[in-house]
Amino acid sequence: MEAKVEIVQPSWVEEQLLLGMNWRDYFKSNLTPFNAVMAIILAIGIPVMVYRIAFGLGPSTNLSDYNPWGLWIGFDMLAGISVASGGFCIATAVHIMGMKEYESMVRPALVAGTLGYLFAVVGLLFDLGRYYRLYFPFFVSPGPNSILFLVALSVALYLHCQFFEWCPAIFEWLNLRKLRRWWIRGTLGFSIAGLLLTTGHQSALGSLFLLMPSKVHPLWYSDYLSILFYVSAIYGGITMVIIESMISHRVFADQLHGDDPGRFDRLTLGLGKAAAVVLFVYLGLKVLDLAHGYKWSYLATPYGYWYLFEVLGFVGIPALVMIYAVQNSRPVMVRGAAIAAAIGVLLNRVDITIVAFNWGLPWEYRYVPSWMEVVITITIISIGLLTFRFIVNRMPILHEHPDFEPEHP
Amino acid sequence: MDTSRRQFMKVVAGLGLSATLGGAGIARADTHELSGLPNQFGVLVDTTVCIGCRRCEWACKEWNKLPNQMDLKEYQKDQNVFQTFRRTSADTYTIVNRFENPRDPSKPIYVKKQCMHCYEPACASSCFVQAFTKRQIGAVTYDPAVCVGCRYCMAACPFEIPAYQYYNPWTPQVTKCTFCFDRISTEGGVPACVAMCPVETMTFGKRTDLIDLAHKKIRDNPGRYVNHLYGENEVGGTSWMYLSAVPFNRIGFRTDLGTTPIPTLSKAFLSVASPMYIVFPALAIGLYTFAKRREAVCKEEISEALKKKEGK
Amino acid sequence: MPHTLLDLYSLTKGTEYIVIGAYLFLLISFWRFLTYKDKD
Repeated sequence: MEAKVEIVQPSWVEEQLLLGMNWRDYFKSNLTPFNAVMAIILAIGIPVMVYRIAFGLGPSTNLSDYNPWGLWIGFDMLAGISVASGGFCIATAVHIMGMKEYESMVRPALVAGTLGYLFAVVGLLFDLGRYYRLYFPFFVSPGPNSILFLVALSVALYLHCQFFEWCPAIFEWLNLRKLRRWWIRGTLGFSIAGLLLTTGHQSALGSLFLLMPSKVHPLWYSDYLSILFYVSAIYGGITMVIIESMISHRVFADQLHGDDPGRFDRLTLGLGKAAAVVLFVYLGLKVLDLAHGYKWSYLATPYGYWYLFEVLGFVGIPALVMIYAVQNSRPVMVRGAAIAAAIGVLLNRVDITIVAFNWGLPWEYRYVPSWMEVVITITIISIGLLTFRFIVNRMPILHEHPDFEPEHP
Repeated sequence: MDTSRRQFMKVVAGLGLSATLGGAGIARADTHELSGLPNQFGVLVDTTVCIGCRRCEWACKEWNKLPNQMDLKEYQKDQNVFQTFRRTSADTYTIVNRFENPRDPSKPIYVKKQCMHCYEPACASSCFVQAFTKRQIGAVTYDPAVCVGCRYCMAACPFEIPAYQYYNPWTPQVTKCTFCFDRISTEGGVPACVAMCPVETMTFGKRTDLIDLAHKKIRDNPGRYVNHLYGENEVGGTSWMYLSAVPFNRIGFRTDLGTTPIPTLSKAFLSVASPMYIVFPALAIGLYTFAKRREAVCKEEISEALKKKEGK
Repeated sequence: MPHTLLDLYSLTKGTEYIVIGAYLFLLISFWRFLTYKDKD
């Protein structure tokens, strides 16, 4: 009598959430060095987050009356959102401009973008004195005269719009066929809305500083702040997509088995070409801004050297390297230049918010982030990474779902 | 034709022209008819009179019931507080700073610092929940009931006045001088600091009258004052105005703020952002149709080429 | 009547954003109406 084969039908939870394993196997499969580092970060970060909530901004930050905005606004919010616009760039290129060869990059860029926005807003929540009133500008007492109202409105709307753009992946994961078919018809609409809202808030984030000519160093303050922030957000997004595809190509290699290696390099070169053009445009705008504000004399000051280091080092050189790399089809060099350019965008945002802000003050009043602010920022980023991995491992982000035909708007 | 007749002809032509265009009067093209705040109050601070007794600090804390209040005698006795340049903070709406007097080293200059209550406040134009309102009587008041705590007002204020209750974890507020809004709203009311000042440094009254008074003072005492009323035009004009014997940048004031009201700085972007929402969707749809059509044409050409190949 | 630039901007920007909302709604329905015709 053959042994009765008992078919163990994995429960829905095991099937969907635990990648088809039961709890014990799933836990064992997660004992990896990367997860160990993440566990340490969270073990330190979560208590610091609780400390910030419980004891307020004073004890947990170096913010002061002279420096109201610190790392969370400068880095998490401003830099985070500028670099998270990868989803916008690729979605516009594919859905509106019809560059079908980048179709495979749309969903990872959108997921990374949505998480970037979500955790930028989380960083903002830690920075707000009364975070529980975040909905006030929309429902309680709107102040449309302020540029921050535009920022809040478009960031909130775009966070949802970007999430809706890749919702079909969730429906494929949950096997909701009818909803997915109905939802896909809106992809073009979401892409156009994304274009609108991104143009709105990326330029508005820069225009926040228009109100403070007496506070921001003349080299960084300019009448072109709106367009400067918008253009640098575009190449920030493109370079982030190059970096994300590089990392996910290595980390999630098993999900990309069907892919021929040449295609990935070709896509990187294509993105590198786009990034090179936008970097060049941004460089032109920067020089134009120097002329427009007649700021040449400031270049000879220490702040001028730091400004040249930021502009030449992180915009000029990456642009040239990118052009050379695209010309001689060197994808590895494109990725290197992309990393430098992305860091350049982060540096520019931190420069405006912290380094060049209230530059006239004596040094002892100047702002340096406290260790708790840095820990909370790192914790937020690592939670973002973990969420990204959770989504990519379960939902058809990097590959097409077998029993769903690909969406084409 | 002497000038008056030529003048007359021009006016008639101008009126005739605007009548034909249907303009009721000669309508000013761009600036709207802003009624302004003609009868707003103001305070004229004469820094040559102030003796640095800091009673105004005591009175301000007393009236507004601010924390860390001290006895009045403490304020006068505590002279070493003048060593460092102080600013308004979470529990102090106004402070007095001391500056050496280049003209007469024995007599230092004391300057009282508090919210200037700008005519076009940067804090109000930056606030995205309209927690700050410029009142008819000139005070810029803050409403903690809607404040989200984003602190953009502190970053935007050119005079570095708003402060924040960083050490209040659950209900932090922005703190700044309220121009004793409740006191000056009642008939004959005067701000607490002005009432407390023993040497009449501050004169409270209608802002327009104070401007005339200030210029009269400058004219009547040649050589005593710098011929500049700080606050008359800075960042579009402020309610609190200062007279000084020495150039203002030597007594803690910024003289590079310019005269354009801060809200106009955001006007450039605000007036471009809205049309963008109207124009860009059409551009995007155009781009999309162009890309779609190009794809269709490309398919057509491929199928034709294939058909021609099979036809041979 | 707006007294200061601030009131002016609050009024004008507030109504602008409402106009944009209405315009986008109309544009979307107009665009769907146009493309819907092509389909049948």
